[in-house]
Amino acid sequence: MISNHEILDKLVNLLQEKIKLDLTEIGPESLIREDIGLNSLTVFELVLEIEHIFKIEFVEEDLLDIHTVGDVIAAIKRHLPE
Amino acid sequence: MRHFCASLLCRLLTPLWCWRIINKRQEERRRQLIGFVKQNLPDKLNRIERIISDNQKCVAAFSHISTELLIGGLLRDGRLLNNLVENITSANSDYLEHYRSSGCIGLSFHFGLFHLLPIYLIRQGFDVFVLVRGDAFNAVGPVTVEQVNSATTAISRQQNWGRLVFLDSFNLFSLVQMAKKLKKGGILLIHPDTIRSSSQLVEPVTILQTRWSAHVGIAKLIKATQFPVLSFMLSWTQERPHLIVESPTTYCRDNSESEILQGIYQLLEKRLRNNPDQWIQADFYPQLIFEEL
Repeated sequence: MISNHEILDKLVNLLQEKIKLDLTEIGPESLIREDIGLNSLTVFELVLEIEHIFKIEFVEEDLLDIHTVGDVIAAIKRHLPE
Repeated sequence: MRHFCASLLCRLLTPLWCWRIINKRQEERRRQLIGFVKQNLPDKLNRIERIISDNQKCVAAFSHISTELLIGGLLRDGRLLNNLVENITSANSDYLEHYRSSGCIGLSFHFGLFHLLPIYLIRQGFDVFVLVRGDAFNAVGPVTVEQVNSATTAISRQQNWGRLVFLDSFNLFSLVQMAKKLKKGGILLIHPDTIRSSSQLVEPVTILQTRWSAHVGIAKLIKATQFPVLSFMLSWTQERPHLIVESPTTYCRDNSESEILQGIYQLLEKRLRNNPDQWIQADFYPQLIFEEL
């Protein structure tokens, strides 16, 4: 099963492609809006990419509690096969 | 030179012409609207038995944001709006039937009785999602979008109507939410003729030979999901409100965001040219036209 670290690496790569920033400081505690500065447009594109890369589909309930990168990792893991 | 002068004159006069008509007729229309509402929703509002007694803040917020049409009545008692909504006639609403089970994006802009469109549609059994600013309900009291949604859900269940769900445009996941909801069917209503602080990214489009700002988020949603786009107008006439639904337009991934935006805003231009008096000045439109970009 894919580890949290591997998921984080993939997310950081995606973010670097999308927002063209040096994201070496990003960790699971990083806040999506405040620390990384994402907006609803970038988040929309990222979610589509994440769903494509990990071959998963988020449900609306997943979105309620996502504030940090760690929350995204947890949501992805919930949908990945054991 | 002569062509240039004519073109310049046309560019200057077209919006002025629209404004002249709008300003002239708007007060008259507003008086008609208020008269109609008063006639159809008489003073029972203060005496009616409240279905949801613990949602007074929601009622106040609703009444505040659309006082003319008393949408707050929905939260007091859905029956109050029946007199108003039952009078609506419709044309081409067959287009809508397909979207009970699959999603579509409805562009209603701020024309005519656009406030009533969600109520009309949920009464027809459609699930309706409306994009609003999260602070829209805070004008009167601290009411969250979730609180309003729970109230409308209770009413819909009681009346056996479709669901009415407001989506907060300030939410980081607003576009994702829209896409997820529409996958299950229903109609997403958006009003892309205003640009306010909730817009994360705008792009210029040309309407009435002037440059306007367009919401890029809408184009991204349409491009990524390929949900069909329908244009609605619940127009006001002397006799009764009339719903016009125009045939759906579908965009594919090959369409650029600019093409999609231009297509959407061409609908707005057509609407403005044909029905300038139906345009509700919900925001400060002159600034939008003359100072934007």
